[in-house]
Amino acid sequence: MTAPPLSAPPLEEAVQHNGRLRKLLNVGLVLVVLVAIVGLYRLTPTQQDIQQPVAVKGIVGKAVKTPRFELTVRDLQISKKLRIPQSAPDRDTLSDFVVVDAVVKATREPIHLNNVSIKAADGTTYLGANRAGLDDVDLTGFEFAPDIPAHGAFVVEMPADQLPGAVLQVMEKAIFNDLEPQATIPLGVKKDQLDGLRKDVAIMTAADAS
Amino acid sequence: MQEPTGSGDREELPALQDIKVRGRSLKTWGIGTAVLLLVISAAFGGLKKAGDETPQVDSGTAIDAGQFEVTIQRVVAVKDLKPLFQPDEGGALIAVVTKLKVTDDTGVTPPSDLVRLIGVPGIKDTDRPIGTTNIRDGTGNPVLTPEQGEDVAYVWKLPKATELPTEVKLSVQHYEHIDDSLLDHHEKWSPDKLAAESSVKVKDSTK
Repeated sequence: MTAPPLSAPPLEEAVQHNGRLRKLLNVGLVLVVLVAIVGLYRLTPTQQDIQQPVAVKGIVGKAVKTPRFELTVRDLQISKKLRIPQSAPDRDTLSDFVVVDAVVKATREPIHLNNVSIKAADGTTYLGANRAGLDDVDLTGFEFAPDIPAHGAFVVEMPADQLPGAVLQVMEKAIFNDLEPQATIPLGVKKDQLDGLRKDVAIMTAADAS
Repeated sequence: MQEPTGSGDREELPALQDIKVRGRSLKTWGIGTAVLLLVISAAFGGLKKAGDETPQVDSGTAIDAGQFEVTIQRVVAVKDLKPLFQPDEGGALIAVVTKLKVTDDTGVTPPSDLVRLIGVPGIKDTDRPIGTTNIRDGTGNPVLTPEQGEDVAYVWKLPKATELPTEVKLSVQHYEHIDDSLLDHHEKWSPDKLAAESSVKVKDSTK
């Protein structure tokens, strides 16, 4: 008479248990790898992140020196009407005309400043106005010669109550502007200053070398 | 003498339903694969509701075009819109006047694929307008201020010897805001479907 094989069933159970654990581990590892792939993709800076414009910060009244141009914001006017030199009649708007009086000097070669906007505190971005006849006289239509300062205005249409906390952004091009300098100037307008800046008609001066 | 039948030499093939691959039947593998494909397609939007028919909208009704709110106001045929637009010799211009409001937080100029004329003789359904202008002061391709509804006209050329249509059908493009995809985190607007179609009577101002 032989004894029953006592050790066989526990051994089989242990093998099965190990198999189940391994499967669970495999599923877990696959999930970890998938999450890691997606996470790494999202963390990796894209070309757009690496090559976005470089902000050069400044303040109102002082020249912001970017590698290719210097920009000094001198004054600000707000109005419902805009008088464009050599163009009639006065223009009206659904919001307000914000006229930024500024001096620009190119430092290396002749340039244009085509990309102008004001970014409000809530993130809303208002592009520079392009009313008929405006680009003949404002700073976006002017060619700045190296080392010759030019005086003129940028015009943006936006509600005046969005000005507190807003930032003027100026750069050369709207596209293909990878890593190019962007002059970024907080306009520093307080809510109680809005009435003082408001005019019946904003009269802009034509851009000219000063 | 016994004739060789040959059947005894052949190996008996198992029936299809009895074939097993790695211990599982073909049926199990088939169902598994189908479920896997469904799950993958669902992950990429395969279970989203199929597009409804394009709504028909009357002029004067605001249309949600995603990045814009568009209200078709009128369609006018004119001799010219100097100095911005002039027709070819003997032709005319047809303008779709809209109230256009940017609902996004960034100002833009009106996209040229927003409005299309459908079935107008002399203009292909895919033709972009020759340009846009605001009604306020005749600015070409005007910059729009977010949340301000500006009157903007989309203008096409009607060739010579084309009879002026009395009514036109037009479509308005919808733009989808892409916040973020699985692997990308850049926001953008891209055209996806037609927001609406509309039939509008043409006002003849050529005479």
